[in-house]
Amino acid sequence: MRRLALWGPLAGLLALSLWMLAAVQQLPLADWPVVPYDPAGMTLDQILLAFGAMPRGMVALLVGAALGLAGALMQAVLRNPLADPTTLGLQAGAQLALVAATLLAPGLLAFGRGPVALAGAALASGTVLALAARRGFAPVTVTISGMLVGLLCAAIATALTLSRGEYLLSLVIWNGGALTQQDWSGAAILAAVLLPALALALLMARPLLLLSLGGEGARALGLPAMPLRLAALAVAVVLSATVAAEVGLVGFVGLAAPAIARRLGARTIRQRLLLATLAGALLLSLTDSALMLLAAAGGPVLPSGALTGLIGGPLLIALLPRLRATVPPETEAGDRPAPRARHPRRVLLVLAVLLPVLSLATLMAGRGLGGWGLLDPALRETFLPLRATALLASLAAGALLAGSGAILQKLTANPLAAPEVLGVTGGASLGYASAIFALPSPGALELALGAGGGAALALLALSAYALRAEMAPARLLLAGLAIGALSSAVLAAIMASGDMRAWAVLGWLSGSAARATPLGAAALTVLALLLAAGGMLAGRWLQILPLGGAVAGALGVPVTAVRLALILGAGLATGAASVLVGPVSFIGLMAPHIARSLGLTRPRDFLAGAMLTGALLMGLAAFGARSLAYPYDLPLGLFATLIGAPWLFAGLMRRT
Amino acid sequence: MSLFSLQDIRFDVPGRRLIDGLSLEIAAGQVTALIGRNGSGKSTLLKLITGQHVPTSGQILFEGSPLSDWPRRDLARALAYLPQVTPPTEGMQLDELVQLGRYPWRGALGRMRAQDHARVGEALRLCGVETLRHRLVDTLSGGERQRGWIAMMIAQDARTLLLDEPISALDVAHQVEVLGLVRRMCRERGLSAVIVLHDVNMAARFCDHVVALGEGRCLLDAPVDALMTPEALARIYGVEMSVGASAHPFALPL
Amino acid sequence: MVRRGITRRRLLAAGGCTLAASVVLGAGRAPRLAAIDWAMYETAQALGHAPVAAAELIRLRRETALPPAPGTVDLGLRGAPNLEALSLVAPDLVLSSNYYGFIEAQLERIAPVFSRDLFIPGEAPLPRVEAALTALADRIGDPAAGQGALDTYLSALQDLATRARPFTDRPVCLVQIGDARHVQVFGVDSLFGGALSRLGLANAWPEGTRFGFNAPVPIERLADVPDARIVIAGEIPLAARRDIARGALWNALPAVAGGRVIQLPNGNPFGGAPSAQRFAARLVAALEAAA
Repeated sequence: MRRLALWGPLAGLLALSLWMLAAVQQLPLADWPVVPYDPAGMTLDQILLAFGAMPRGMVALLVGAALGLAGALMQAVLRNPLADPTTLGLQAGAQLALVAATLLAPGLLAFGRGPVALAGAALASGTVLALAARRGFAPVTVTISGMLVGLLCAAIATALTLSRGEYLLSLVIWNGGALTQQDWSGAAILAAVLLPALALALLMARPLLLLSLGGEGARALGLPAMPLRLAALAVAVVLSATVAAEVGLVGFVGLAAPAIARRLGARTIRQRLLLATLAGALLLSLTDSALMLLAAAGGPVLPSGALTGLIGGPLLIALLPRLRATVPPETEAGDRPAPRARHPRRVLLVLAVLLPVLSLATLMAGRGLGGWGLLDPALRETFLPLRATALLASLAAGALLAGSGAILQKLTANPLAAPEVLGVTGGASLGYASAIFALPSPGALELALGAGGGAALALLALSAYALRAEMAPARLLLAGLAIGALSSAVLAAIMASGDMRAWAVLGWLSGSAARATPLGAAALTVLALLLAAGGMLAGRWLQILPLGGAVAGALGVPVTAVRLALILGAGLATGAASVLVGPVSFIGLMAPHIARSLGLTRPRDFLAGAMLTGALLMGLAAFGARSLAYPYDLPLGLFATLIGAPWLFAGLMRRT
Repeated sequence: MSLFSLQDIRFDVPGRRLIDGLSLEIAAGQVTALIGRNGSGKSTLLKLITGQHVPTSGQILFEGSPLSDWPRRDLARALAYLPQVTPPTEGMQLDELVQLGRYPWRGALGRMRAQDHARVGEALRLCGVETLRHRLVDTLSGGERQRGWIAMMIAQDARTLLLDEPISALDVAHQVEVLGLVRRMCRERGLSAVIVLHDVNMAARFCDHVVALGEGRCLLDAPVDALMTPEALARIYGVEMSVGASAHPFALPL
Repeated sequence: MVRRGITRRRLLAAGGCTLAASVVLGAGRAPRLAAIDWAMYETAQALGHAPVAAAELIRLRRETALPPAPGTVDLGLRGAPNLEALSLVAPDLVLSSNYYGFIEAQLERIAPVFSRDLFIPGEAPLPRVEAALTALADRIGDPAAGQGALDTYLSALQDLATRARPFTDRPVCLVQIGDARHVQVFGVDSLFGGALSRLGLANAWPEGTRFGFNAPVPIERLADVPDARIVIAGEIPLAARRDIARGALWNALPAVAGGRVIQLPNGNPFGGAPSAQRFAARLVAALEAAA
């Protein structure tokens, strides 16, 4: 805490002077208006300051504080250093509500989008909490439910948008966390929510400390664990929903602020809540003032919210080595042990039979200009090659992502590990975007190389880091999230730049099986088979590695080399697959989970089951994506989410 | 020849010296207890002699050769290690866990032969967990699980067992059961064992030799009888204790 | 609707021939055109060769200056057109632009592609879409239609420029409202910006177009052009209307305070010459009405 006494005021001073610097550039101090501000008697420059820069500076502080507090609360409740306001699917819920209102009941939006977004966020988090409540709010369950609800909301919103022929609306509807203000209303709303929330949070600090002993320990001390968790989460939900409604998506502050608080030595929950609030406020304020200065100096105007990742990502990576080793989300009473199939071979056989059946069905059936039906024999010559290429590519991509996820989950002994979570797809996106911006007219091969190279670079960074930190799973996940946040920040900046080439990036982000070339499909298939073969050979490693480095080393496994090889394999598989399906599929998270819920626990069965499930999911998704809103191709990755998520929900809902 | 021979070992972590100039011989064919107060360096020492930590300076010989010269596979065939906290084994059956002990002999790809299955079966039987072989490890009781992990070490066919506080989470009956098992293995099969222990009475009851550490230095290195004196105990734990005797000597804090 | 017996091979052969010279595509009948790009769609419409299929038809119907004929087939997304639907349409020629260069290979598998670089950052698109009129006309073997359409268009703009002369006293700032705090601004490298200069009106915005997926320009930047008329080229989103009307900053902008804001209906900022002409006509009419 002594470090805080030094750094706290210093950071505060820096934030204030940065803002002043930006504000004075706008209007010399001598001309500043006096309170109370009345636009009628002010010059335009004074109005710009008093109703633009001033509320903006305040909003930056308030939004950062709200997110920092929300993140700290969630991490205290979920006992999971990866929890943050996006974990409960809030932002996606709010976005779904906005999209639905815009398309179905635009009248609702006449009162501003705040209430609508709030309703959506509350609904989404309510769903997550309902799911989690059935399992006693076990950290793993909450996190997975949150991510799934988020994915599902995003998928429905996009599907809804596209089925109405509104391709861009879902992306235009929100500015990526731009903090620009034109009066004090936003700041007033945020303050009105933040202050009571902070008071409530501090009241809950001591009970939350008891809760951190674990649900049973708290109960033994006479503390009702469930209502307390609910209350703390509700505060976090209201905070993040208000932010989402007022300024849109602001990434990473909710994750980074509590990490900074811990780094500064905050030990008790109370210290963490207060410090995370402060850290969040300063972090966002610094970011926003720096961006204002950049814009004033003639630089690009960038949305602050999305760009917090640019600062927050590297910051988190820098903090990680010093972060006390965090426990991976452990099994609680609410999480029953995974079921184990009595005849795993039979389960695998059923999956393996389903695959050709599904393939044949989706090849022959579909939707054309005249509606649903079987493929007209006269059209076979034209259509079958098109459909077969797309199908083969989807199956292979699904298998690759699922296999990669299965390997990473075994490697880190963490059911939340997935290529999408580890920042690999983020790296692939960046590589793809750089290929588009660096080359005059990149072809398919250049783009594939760009994405693959980006994925490999992200992986190399991750591996280099992971080796240094001895691969502690939770740290690996944090580092992956940091890389992901960094790349999404850069992508957001590219999108905000308004450059036409962003179209191509956007097209890729949503993913499309139709874009696969025969050569690409063949290459993906070969890669999928290689991954399957390699995974089978590494089966014994995959069984030993989850037991940790010490046990594996004592058994004579060359731990470092094996881990590196598996990480690289998983990364290349992900990079290759995401060239086709885009970076947002979450097949790599879902397919292994489904395989696990089918009782496939032995590593080889698990891997084979996950890959088959991934292929099935993606095959179905490719079919649905091309048929459901015909002739509009729905984003493949999102559609895969739409199919897989309900299955997972069912699995989560089943009680012990 | 000594099992382990430590020559002037130092081990530093940023800001702290955990092992400070330790020289020690650990004999083969014995059960050696490693005791000391919390933070005395006993777990660190165990990690050093398993090769998980590399000493900052000094040399460790295992069976006469420097530890660092041992090929990984050969070391795993000679040395088995049980961590202080056994990791969760998601979805793994007990017999599958014990089979992992054959990894040093069969590697990542080698087929399990009849001989390997025989070793696994024998290990399960020796540790009295044969009837539990198809149970999920995560559903076993603490004592059963610990015996299962020891069965894995037996299946590993190593001549030396290293155990880090194997009984800290067990009740007295299970403590006796687990330590009795280790002692029996050493007696019947000529194995050596080094066990980190907190309970001096258990150490006195089940071990042949004792090494006591304090602040990274050796406080006592003697047959176990030498431990059970008020003077030695006071030196190691800084607490006055009285030593009595019934069938075996026992010590109680005053 | 679907012509049986047409195979890719025959189409490719046909495509090969037409590459050599501007041979008549449809062999004696009107060519079947399928438009991926909206500017190209409008160009074809202006030539009197209505495409039989177009991408994102639902939105196109709302935004284009020349509505599609009934029975036009929807091809799905511009960025990811439905290749099966495109094959079913069996076009003689696919109309595309540099926007969709990344899917051109897939389109080529179905029919020859006619693509032009239309919208390029920093370059004026209007001359390019005007040139597309004659280029496409030549390509489909109807050069007369191209010259005719261009002449009609140029003389219409000439008339509008005459009517716009009284309003050259102030520059114009062309915006679209994104939300209550952000706008998109059309610079000289936009279609509407080009139409503005054809009318003889000055564009107040000194930089290039800031027109992306979101509205990138904070509203306060409009204070940088105090003398300008603000022309809102498109409807204000419902969600932003209330906040815009109340906002202290918006109401303090000189153009807003001085009553120099003109509101136009939605247009097609990425359309062809017809969209530019419609925009010019609407702008001149609105200016006259406000005067």
